[in-house]
Amino acid sequence: MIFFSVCAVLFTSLWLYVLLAGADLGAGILEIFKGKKNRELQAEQEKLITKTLGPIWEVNHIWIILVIVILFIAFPHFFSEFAIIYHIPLTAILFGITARGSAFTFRHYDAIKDKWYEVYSAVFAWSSLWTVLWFGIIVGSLVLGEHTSSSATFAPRFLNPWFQPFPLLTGFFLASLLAFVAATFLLAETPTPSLRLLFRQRALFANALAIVLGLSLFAYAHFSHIFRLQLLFQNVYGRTCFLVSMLLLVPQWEAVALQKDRQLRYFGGLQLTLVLVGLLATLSPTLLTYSDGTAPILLEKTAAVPEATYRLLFIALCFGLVVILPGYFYLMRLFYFPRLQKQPEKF
Amino acid sequence: MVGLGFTLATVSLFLLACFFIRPEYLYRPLTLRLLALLTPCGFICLEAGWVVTEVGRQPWIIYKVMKVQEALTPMQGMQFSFFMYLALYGFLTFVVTWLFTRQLKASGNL
Repeated sequence: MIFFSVCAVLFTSLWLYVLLAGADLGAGILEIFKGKKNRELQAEQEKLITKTLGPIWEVNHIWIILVIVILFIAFPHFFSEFAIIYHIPLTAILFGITARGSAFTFRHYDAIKDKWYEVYSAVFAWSSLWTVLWFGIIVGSLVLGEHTSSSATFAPRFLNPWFQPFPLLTGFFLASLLAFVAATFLLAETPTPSLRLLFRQRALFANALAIVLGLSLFAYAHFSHIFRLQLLFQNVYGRTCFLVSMLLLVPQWEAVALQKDRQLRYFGGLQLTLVLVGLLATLSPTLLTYSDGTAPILLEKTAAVPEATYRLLFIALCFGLVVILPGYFYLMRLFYFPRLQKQPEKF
Repeated sequence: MVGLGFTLATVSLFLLACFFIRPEYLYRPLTLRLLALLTPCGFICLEAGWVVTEVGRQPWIIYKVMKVQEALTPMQGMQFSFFMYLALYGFLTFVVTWLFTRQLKASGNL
């Protein structure tokens, strides 16, 4: 029961991170395509992104930190192997996150608006894409599962698992998916009709790109015999998620056509959730597989972790969530539902 | 670190007392100068505390359980990772210093 609860918190945190940080990173990617001709529209987009994402981008780190802490405590074997094998991609992600966070903050707080503003914007936009690509590369290579154990030399252990076309393709697929989620997320917050139209077009374009890249991934997996992705169709949950996400495209496009922007946001979130759940259901219970015959690391209790550790972790998580969640919901309410607030009395 | 911490706490308590007893003291140039002087102290305390915990527990990464050497990743070429982080944070330090100077210079015109 305790182990199950810990896993539930782990997956919920992962889901929230993928969804919220996904929208955040996707907005950065969208900024690359903000257009150079119309200055006014460009400034409006930047203002909207800052206003919408300002309150959440830092809070999103709560979820990734929770994921890291739970993996570190409850699945130490996986955590250690993962951190060692993916040293290079994880370093690249850290560089990307540092660069985009700094640029976003500098852009917002620098009192002087001159040519440096453009530099901050460019760093924010391109490092968002950079970070997402590396996240996708890690996901792709986890699906690929061609890791080698500790006895291997540098390239087979630290480069070959991810330095391949399939993980890179996954990176671009993730980028398009997150751009789509971000476009739907921003769309519902957009006050001006011209900007709404722009984000609607972006959402549609990113969605079409995600479909093309997703199908290319399956085609590549089929021809290169990447059996772990093909498992998606054999697993009942994986198959259901895939079918539902495909069926959802119809009402989604209808929502675009009928300009139901708020509805479109839920579709964006749902699509990303389905991709995540389908992928996890297909890969579970394995966390990390090896191509050299070493036994895979599974999502299960290990002897290395005493029962008391799970119990303590569970208590710490309950306590932490009781502290975090009310503040978190209050923050969300303040920023996204300002009309619910009482107007302050006049001084 | 401890001395600075106590100084900060004492000054805060003193100013709190002033707020209730003699609020006009809060706006005296001497008080304002004292506050300006104490501004970096919080940061110095924070950094000093960090150095104490990091340097103080060497060579252990988990005190008396695991050594730093044992916790190090087996990946070769860790020095490149180190130099990269050093360059990144060196660059960020430069940028932040430049940004602060820029804001201060501009504050006269705002």
